[in-house]
Amino acid sequence: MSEKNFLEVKDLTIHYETDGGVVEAVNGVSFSLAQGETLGLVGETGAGKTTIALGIMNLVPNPPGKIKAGEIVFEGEDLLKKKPKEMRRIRGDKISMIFQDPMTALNPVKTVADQISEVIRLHQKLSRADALRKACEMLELVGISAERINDYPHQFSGGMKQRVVIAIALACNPSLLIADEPTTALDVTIQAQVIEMMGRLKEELKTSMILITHDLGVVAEMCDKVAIMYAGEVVEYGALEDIYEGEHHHPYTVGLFGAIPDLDKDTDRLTPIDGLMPDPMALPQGCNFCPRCPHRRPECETLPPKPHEVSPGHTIRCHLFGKEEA
Amino acid sequence: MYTYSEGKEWAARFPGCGPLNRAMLKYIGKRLLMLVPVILGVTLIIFIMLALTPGDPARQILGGEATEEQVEELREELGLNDPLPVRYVRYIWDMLHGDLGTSYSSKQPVTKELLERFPTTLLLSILCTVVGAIIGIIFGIVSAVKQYTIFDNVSRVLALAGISIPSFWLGLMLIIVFSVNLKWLPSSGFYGPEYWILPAITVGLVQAATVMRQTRSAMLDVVRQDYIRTAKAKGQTELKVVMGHALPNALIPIITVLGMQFGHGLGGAVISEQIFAIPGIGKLMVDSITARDYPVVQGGVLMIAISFTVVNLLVDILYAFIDPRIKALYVGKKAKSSKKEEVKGAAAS
Amino acid sequence: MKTAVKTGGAAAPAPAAKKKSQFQEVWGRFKKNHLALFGMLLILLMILMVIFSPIIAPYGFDEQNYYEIFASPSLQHLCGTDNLGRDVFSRLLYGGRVSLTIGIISVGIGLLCGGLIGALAGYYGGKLDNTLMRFIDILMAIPSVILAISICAALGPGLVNTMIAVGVASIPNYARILRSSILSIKQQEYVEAARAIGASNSRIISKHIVPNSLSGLIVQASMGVGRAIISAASMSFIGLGIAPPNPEWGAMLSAGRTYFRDYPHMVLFPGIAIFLAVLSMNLIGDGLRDALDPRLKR
Repeated sequence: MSEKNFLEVKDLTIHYETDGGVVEAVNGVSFSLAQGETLGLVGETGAGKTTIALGIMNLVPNPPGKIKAGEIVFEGEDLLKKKPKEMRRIRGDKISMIFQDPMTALNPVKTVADQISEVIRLHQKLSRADALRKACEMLELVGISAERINDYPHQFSGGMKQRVVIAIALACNPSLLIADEPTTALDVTIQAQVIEMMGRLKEELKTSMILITHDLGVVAEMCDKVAIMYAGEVVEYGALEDIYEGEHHHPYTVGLFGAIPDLDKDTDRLTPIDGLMPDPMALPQGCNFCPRCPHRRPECETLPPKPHEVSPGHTIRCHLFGKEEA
Repeated sequence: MYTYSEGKEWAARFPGCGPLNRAMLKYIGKRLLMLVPVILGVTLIIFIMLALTPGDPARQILGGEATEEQVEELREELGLNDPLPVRYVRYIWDMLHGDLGTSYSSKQPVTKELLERFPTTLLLSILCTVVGAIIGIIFGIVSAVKQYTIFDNVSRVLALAGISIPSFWLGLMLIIVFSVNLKWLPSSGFYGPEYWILPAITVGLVQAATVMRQTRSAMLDVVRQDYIRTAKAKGQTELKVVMGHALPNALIPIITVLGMQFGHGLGGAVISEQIFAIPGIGKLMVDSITARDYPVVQGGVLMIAISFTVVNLLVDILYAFIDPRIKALYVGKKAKSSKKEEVKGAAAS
Repeated sequence: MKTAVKTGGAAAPAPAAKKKSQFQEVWGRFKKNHLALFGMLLILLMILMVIFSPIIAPYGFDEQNYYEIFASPSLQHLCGTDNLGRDVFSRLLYGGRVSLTIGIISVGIGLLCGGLIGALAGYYGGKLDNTLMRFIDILMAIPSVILAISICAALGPGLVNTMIAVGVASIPNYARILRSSILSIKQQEYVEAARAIGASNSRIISKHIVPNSLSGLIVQASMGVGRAIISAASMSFIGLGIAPPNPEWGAMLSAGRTYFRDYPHMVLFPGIAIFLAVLSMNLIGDGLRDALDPRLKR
């Protein structure tokens, strides 16, 4: 299959239908990923990042979650059209996921050996003994002594638990790895170690990756492409250079970068973005960012902006750039 | 790189993972010792309660025609004229020698009377709990997994009805249907397996309702945990996610409620044995209460309390085999019962 | 995203919500639960029928009619007559007074004593907690039916004694629930905050601990009424609680036991009465639990 088509998400829309109303968590999100590439999904808590990840895994909790529209084309086939059984064969094998909170991601009553070899035995025809051997290898690979293979999760620290989670995710050599804020729950010193290790393993195993984070530093270090998300939409999407060095930016991206300290400049205060994210049950009629936007214009309040390509591969969803279309 | 046998070697080297080890045995021993004051407390409470009961046992034994002198003589003989503390110490002393006194009505040693009937009551309680566990756990799991479906709604209402039915009434109704009308099953006595069915179902169904509610809520708690999502992300089948990952984590509240239900079964024996005319401890106790045969009542309460306490201890020990974190808590130096309390509190509500 | 659902879904009640609005909120959720509402109507209906039994009951509870013994249910005798020709329906109405009173009062006894023990143990902790809980442990070692029977055996039969026996047997349950909920509330940050700004013990208890631990207790109490009705009926059934001439539901079952093979209506209707009363209390309890803490909804 062609490199370009390795993973393509088109117009993905996911809603949570609760008693209190419909939560529009993801609205028409599109992006693509080539083999070996890393895409950074960046945005505030509640922007819909985890929902996209669960959507790709087809694990959106249903009820209340529903994938309303869109396609997720992986290796030429639409994952949303797969039968549950086919999807199970893909999960954990070709696509796997690292979760946000390692403290709760491991089953407390099973040994690490059981938990790693479970995924191996599910997807590879290995004997119990061979699977255990492979599990030991994986544990060593993520930097934990194989002697600890028979320990239980509570005997590990947070950083080590996350390593175990990574070992589970990489055990079957997936072609796509989705890492959902893999370091948020960890101590700062451990974060760097885990990120470094993930980068190394990704190179070694030639895995493509979707990295969900709100740490722009990590994005700069790891990613080839970046999608900035706001209130369920991708507001800016492009190559790493486009986002970090390009001329044109979505006002939200500008705000996001303004909210992190820059060691090179002598600033007294950081510039936060005023206001809060809109209620996902009652999104604004026009641009979602409009209420907080410093450059808002009359049309922003009524007309939702369309993605506009400012340079090849770099799109911005904002009326400031797409005037001729509007 | 690493072979399976090496893996086994590690398991041997790290005995914290083994099923039973010295620390665990020590813990069990400690818990057994802790039972002693509880059992003593039970004897004290029952002793005081029955000692304060109006009515003279000696008069009861001899009947209305006996003279005052005869009654007084018997009181002296039974030691009823001694002060209470003396009587209590004597009771405990005898108890430690396996002597729970002599039945006023049958003139047999209480220990003998109780031990004759205990296996029946125990068997009945176990049967009830087994019936309750099987039905309750299966329905609870399916209900939780299929939350808000018709199956879930119907079994929830049934369970609510189940905890609202007085078991003795259910027993009478089952007798009317299955013994009187259909003539399928015998309704009284305890002579063989066909006699076990009705009592076991009567009490078992009521227990199943409680077990089902507990299982369902425990499973619902667990199913929402992140590690269930992890298991699904591995590509595991729904069935194995539920049975292999969710159920083991929900087992603690489930076995807690099973332990309690076993206790209810033991206690409920006083009623179910009445309905089905089963010669167990429960029936003996009711008969003895009516006859004011206090040594037997005292012994019966003691025996039931001991069995119940031992079962609860077994449940506590089982926790350690289900959850390695609790085991670490038990065998660790700072063994505290707070975790257990939490679980039990949750199970009780 | 997950968090979005949480904040977006049924908004969690603000902890500082005013009392009245909180009550309205709970009631609003409660009345959406049709089963719970049904339970409440049912028990209200039963209470009314029982209160007005002298007016509703077609016959007196001890009115014997030797020409009509063991009559099957008919228009004349809705639930038939018993071995003495007494109208079962009338006896059920009068008996309901006894059964429902026992249910409510014995829960009151258990709640008061158990609540006090649990509150003291949970709030003060330390030695007091240890002593009280060891005592509760001892009571817990005896299955509650056995405990109630032993107390009843010691006190003798009768209405008051039955209430005491059933109530005392439920003390450990309430004590443990209140203690554990207080222990968990004590560790909450808002209680620590209250203590940090120098609030007195009594203020912390009345403003923070009691309101927050009450919901669990309310749910337990409503279901406890059902349990108490069953316990009292069981005791009458084995000849301890209420003595036979009085029309208590369990005593009626016990009296009907001799004849139930030939005249099932004698045990059918008292059983249904117990079942409906207990069921309605359990429905209310379940509904209250969901309404008081929507996050725990199951």
